[in-house]
Formats: sequence, structure tokens, C-alpha cells
Amino acid sequence: MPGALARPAARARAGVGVRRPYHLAVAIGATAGVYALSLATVTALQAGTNAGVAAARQPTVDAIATMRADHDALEAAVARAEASYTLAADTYAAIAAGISEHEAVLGRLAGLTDEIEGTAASLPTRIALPTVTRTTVTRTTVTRVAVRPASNATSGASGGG
Amino acid sequence: MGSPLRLTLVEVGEGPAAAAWASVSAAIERAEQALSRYCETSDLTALNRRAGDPDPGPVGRKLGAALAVADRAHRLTGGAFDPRILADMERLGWEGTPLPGTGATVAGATSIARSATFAGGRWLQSDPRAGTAAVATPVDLGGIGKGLALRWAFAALRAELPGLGSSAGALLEAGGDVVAEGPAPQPGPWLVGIEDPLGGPVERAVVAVDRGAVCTSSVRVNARVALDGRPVHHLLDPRTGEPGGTGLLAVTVAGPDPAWAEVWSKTLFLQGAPGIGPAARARGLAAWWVTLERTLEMTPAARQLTAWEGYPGA
Repeated sequence: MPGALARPAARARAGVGVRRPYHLAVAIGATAGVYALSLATVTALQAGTNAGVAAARQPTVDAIATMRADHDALEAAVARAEASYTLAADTYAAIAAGISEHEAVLGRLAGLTDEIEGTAASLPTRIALPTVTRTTVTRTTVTRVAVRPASNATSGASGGG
Repeated sequence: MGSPLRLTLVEVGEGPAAAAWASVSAAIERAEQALSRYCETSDLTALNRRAGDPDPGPVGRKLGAALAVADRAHRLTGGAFDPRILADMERLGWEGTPLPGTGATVAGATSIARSATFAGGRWLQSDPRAGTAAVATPVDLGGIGKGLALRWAFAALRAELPGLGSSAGALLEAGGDVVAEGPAPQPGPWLVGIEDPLGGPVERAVVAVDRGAVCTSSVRVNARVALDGRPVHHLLDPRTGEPGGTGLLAVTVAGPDPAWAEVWSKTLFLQGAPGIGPAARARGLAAWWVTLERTLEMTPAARQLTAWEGYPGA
């Protein structure tokens, strides 16, 4: 018979009604809220701490930047000094050759001086000079002449202070 | 410089001669722009307008070099050469471009200007590497400036004519100063006459120059009547601020460089007739001088260079 016996499940639904687990949803929501609040608090605390640390580190960072700049300047100065030193060394090398040459000339000059001194010592204290009839300067090959030669230019007053 | 410029070339073709003349003219023009106190826009005028300010300002290379030479000349001559004489020149009537604080007519004021120095006793503060200089008081670089202009112009000539001194010869003359080098038009060295300071037509002597300069300081031109009515010449003694060279009409010096020949001709002139002989001989200078009695005298070094010597009325 179709209506004599109802199936147990249908009977239960019709008699007792459906119990929904609202408490679970509330519990989950509350837990999530607490978690979110905790997370926000921790994040805020973390951000504050990071900012403090960054602020505390800033002088150090600045000092490092300054040191880096100083280092760069020092490096450049060393490079310049090295270039100057190289140039000075080259110049000295060039001069050294000249000095050696100069020393050789001085040596020859000293020899000549000795020779002249010896010659001077051997000269008589008094000599009879011959009669001079014409003045001829051999050192500059200038010969005095009686008639005025035509000059190429004239040196004279100009008015300059 | 306000002086005629003349260039004589030997064994130089027309093209190179024209280029040489252009080069010399340009060098003289550059020297004028650097050293003239009569030029409103010259470097010297700009420097003089800053005179008294101890902070060195920028100066051109030529003016910087001229100041260095003038400073050395001041020291080597024991102060007989002194570019600070400008205030006295203006007081006596040789006025250049107007400058603040110059043109005073009171001798006391120019005396102060003549002895003006910075702290440390120097009239010049300069840093040649930085190209800066400062002067304690306005300065005049007239005579030495002309010598330097000739030096620079002749250097330009050498650069233009590589054979100068060997195959080619040149003589450059500006305002009574002469520089020569290389073969002359006639056999033998260049011959430079020393003019009669009294304006006579015959030179007093003729000097042989192989290579070098001949410069003269003379009272023949540029004399004037001072503002107080006295006749004065332009060769002023820095020690007094007044015309110097008692008993002398002119002094000529021959030497390797025109700037220093200029310095020594003026310095010797200021020694006057009594002191010029010992001073010139002590330095071994080739110097000729004419006294008020029209007598020509010279040092042993000058005698060796003298090709011909005249006498008054010769």
C-alpha cells in the first residue's frame, strides 16, 4: 500500500524540521575577524618598527654615501697624482740627460779655466804694447771704419716710458 | 704703440714677406691690446681699474707675462725701474685712459701711489698658473711694453720664417727700438745707428748687430711743460717722481732681448752722468751714452760692437 508506510527520511523531515548550523558560521566569522584584526595590528606594528629602523639607519647610509664620494675623489686625486708623477719622471729623465751634458760642458770649462789660469800665471808682469794704428775687434768681427757706414736702422728717442 | 713699425727682410720672397708682415702686425696689435694704457679696452686698463683690490682678478697671458717681467726688472734694478710711476706721469701731464684715483696734481698723492704695496711689501700679486693678478696701484708698462711687443713680434716672425737667422735675415724697428737677426742686406752684420739726441742729421755711432736688440732712452722727444710751468722730460726717476738722468741726453743699450735692453737703457739713464759708467760696467752691459756736453761715451762691451764713432759736428 502506497500510503501505509512512509519512508523514514521523509518522516523525519516532516516531523522534526531542519536544524541549520548558524553557530558555526558565527564562529568562523568571529575567528576570521579576530585574525584580521591581529594581522592588521601586527602589520601596523611592523611598519612602525621598519620606519624607525630606516630612520635610525639614515645617518649611517648618508655617511656611507659621503665616504663613497670621498673615496671617488681620492681615487681621482691619486690618478691625477700618478699622471703628474709620470710626467715629472719623464721631465726629470729628459732634464737628467741635459744635466749630464751640462756637467760635461762644465768639466771642459773647468779644464779651460785651469789652462787659462796656468797661462796667466806664466805671463810677464809687464809687457810693451805695440802702437795701435787701427782697432779691429775679432770677437764680433766688427771692424772700425773711418767713414760712416750706411746704417740699416737708427735707434733713438721714442717717447716710451 | 703710437710708433711707426718697419720690417726689413733679406732673402725672403714676396709671399712669405707679406705673411711675415701680417704676422708681425698682428703680434704688435695683440701686445697693444694687452699692454696699452691709452686703450680704453686693453687688459692693462682693466687691471689698473681694479688697482688696490688685493683679490687677484683674471688677466690675459701677455699682460701676466709683462707684469712678471716688470716685477723682475723692479727687483733687479733695485727699484730704478718701477711701473708704479704712472701717477707721477699723469701728474706731470702724460695722461692715459682715465682711471679712478689717478690724475692727481698733488705731488704728495703721487708719492703715496708710487710706494703703494700690498701686505708683504709687493706691488704685484699674481698667480701665473691661475692667470690672475692684482696691482696695489695703477701701473705703466710703456717702455718695457714696447720691448716686449718687439720680442713677441720677432718670435712670430721666427715662426713665420723658419730660415730666419741662417738663410734669411730680418730687422724690425719700432719707435727707436731695433731687433735684428740673420744676414743683413750688405756683407757683415746689421748696422744700427745711434741718433744724435740733439736732433742732428748725423748719427753719433754705428753699432754692429749679428743677433739682438738696440734700444735707446732719450730726452729728444716727448718733453713738455709740466702743469706747474717747468720743462720736463718723460724719463722719470721712481725715487723722486721727477725727471732723472742729470747730465745725460740719451742712453743706448744693446743686448739679446729688446725688453731688457729697454729696461737697462732707462735704468742707466736714471743713474745720471756721474753714475752711469760704473753702473753699466758693473753689469757688463754694452751701453752708449751722450752727455749734456754732447760727448759720446761707452762701455768696453759697447766698444767691441761699435763699427763707427762720430763726433759732434762730424
